[in-house]
Amino acid sequence: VKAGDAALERLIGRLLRAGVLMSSACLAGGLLALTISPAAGVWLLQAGLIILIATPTVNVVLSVVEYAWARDWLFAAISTLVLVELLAGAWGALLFYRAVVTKPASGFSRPAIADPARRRIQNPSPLTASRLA
Amino acid sequence: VPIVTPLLALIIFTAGTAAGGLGALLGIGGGVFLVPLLNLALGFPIGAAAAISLSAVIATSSAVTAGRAGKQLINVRLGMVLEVATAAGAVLGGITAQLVAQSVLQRLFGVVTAIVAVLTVARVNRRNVMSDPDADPGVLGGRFFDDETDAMVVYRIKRVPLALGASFVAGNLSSMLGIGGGVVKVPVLNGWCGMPLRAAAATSAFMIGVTATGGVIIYYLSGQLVPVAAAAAVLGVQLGSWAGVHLSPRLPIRFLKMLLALVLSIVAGVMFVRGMS
Repeated sequence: VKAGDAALERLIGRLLRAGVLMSSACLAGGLLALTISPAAGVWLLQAGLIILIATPTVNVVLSVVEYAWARDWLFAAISTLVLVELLAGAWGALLFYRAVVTKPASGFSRPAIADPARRRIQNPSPLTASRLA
Repeated sequence: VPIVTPLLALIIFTAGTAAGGLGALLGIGGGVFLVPLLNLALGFPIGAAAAISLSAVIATSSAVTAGRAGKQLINVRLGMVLEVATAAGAVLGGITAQLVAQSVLQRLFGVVTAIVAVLTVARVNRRNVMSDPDADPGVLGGRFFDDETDAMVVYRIKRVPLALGASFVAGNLSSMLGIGGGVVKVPVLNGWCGMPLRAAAATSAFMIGVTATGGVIIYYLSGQLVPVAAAAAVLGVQLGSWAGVHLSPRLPIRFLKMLLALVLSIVAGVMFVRGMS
């Protein structure tokens, strides 16, 4: 335990609270908007989900910065390693997406509404991804 | 994929509330219940069920960590070290799945969970805190104010390789079964690595968001995440984790451990049944 640990914990708490509140506001707004304007509702739902999914990664980036700022190089390296693993996983997922889905991927901008015709397999896990590649 | 009617959304919202509450009390994301509920009871394909569950796990992690931060229950350093193993486990989940069939994995998971449940009950009175509040917790240990005993408590982390191994397995299971892996991490950290349950639960809740991120991206990009269902689950999680965060300091540790044992027993049963069918 070092002096900056409590401060980092509070900082992470604030970041996660912001992420989870923004995402929930978008999701709740999206559900309500669906009844009035489906297009706006879908857009808000997508925004909410992307904020939700991105929040833990932003949190790891924050840890890297904070540990580096405190010149705690061991933990800066450890959190960088976590970040690299997350990005490698996301990159692998993107490659898998390109391999499985016929149309070229436009990444996050594509609305991920379940469309059975676009799904080639029922249960893609990283494993099936590597098997298909 | 079933059409998400208001009634179905309400059921998913309620399930999310329960998951968020469990996350706040025990540090587990509730994926072990959400996946079978969505898949077996509500008729979502397994990929969609896992995707919705992983979204709820991330929401639980963020909401519980935000609600807990500042009490020094979350061991960020230990969490970061274990996340290296968890994220590696999640990314390499494919290799495990090639070696072991999912049904075998579920049965194995069921048996191990049942054993851990029995051990949790057997050790319900054991405490992991050191008597001297000025003791050195070491690099990975921690110190926090325990409301129940009204005193500052210190703990050290023992058996770090075991904790790393458990986190790797948790990450592995996460991408394959759509869970956050807290159900593996919390008993191991509390039972074998010297961490008090409240600290183990808070640290696990902090970690499961990162664990679930690896898995959910694949499902999101392949269009299996049903937005309306995920939104209902996430909003339910908000309510449940808010309630759980405010309730948990008032609950005695003995109650939390018995609840953990009960949850583990149910998980063991659910996994065993899923592995058989």
